[in-house]
Amino acid sequence: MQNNTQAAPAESAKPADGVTTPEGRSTAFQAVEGGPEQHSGTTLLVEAYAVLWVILMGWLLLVWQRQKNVGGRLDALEQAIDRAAAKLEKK
Amino acid sequence: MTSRARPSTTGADYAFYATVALATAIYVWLINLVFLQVPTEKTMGIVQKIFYFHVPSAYSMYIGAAACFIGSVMYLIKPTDARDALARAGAEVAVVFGAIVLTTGPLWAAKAWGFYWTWDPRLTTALLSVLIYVAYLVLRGFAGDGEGERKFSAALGILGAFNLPIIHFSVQKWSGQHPTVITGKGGGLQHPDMKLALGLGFAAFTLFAVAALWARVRVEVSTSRLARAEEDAIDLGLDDRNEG
Repeated sequence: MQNNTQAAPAESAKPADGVTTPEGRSTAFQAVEGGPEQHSGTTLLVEAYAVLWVILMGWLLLVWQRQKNVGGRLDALEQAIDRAAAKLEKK
Repeated sequence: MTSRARPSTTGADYAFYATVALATAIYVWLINLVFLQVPTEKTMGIVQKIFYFHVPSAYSMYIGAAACFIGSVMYLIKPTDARDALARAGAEVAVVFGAIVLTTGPLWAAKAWGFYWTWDPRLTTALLSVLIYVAYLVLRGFAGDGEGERKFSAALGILGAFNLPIIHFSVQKWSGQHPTVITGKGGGLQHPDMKLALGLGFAAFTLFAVAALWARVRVEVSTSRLARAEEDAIDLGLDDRNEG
């Protein structure tokens, strides 16, 4: 059932030129059931699809960073092995 | 200077590439089907199409959680790097797809229910499950990678799996607002294209989850091997990085 009860200013508070006075403004928020559409289905679908890709791409970046970190540690280890090998060759 | 051979492409690599290629092909087909072919649902309208990504994501979350459970149980029976890597990768996959489920679901609900979130049994248990796997990853990320931490994480991985059947049966047991379209008393998908889209969604997301698990396990195993090699190098006096 529609309960279309928008707060209406009191008749006595309404001046002749149609401008509401401070006394006439609404002092309570009343709910309207079955009001106009608040969310566009198309927008929500696009948002859901975008979120899916943002999460997957964010994860891909994290995996890339971790792989990069492993690569850096591996490079350092290889350099250490090379230095040790060079020392052995000098001896 | 020591020369190092590049690792050759193995059968496992080809299998991985084939999985990714197949997942991509099915995903492209799925997008085409969902956006251009599948009819719009009568009461919910176009927002119902979130369903074709939301439900397969939930299924992929289960795959990740199952992998975490299997890896954790196997690790507690016999600890190996590969088993721990499977548990860790599974938890990560569960969190990623759980995050997709927990964001796409409320976006659908905003239109279908008129609000983004409610403490419905399925929503609450799904959130709890994702938080358990987030806790798992936080523990692994900040508490080190020792034997004790790995075993404690394995216990958490097993605990997380116990919540999965509760998510699944919560709708039947405690009712709530979450629809049961596919299982139980749900009316099902009425149009054949809707059924095909959901089937393709399951196939694409399953293959993607498997490929993601595979890739993550490989990285985790490599990281563990590297850590061991670093320790060996220090023990043998090869690693002189800290020397003046």
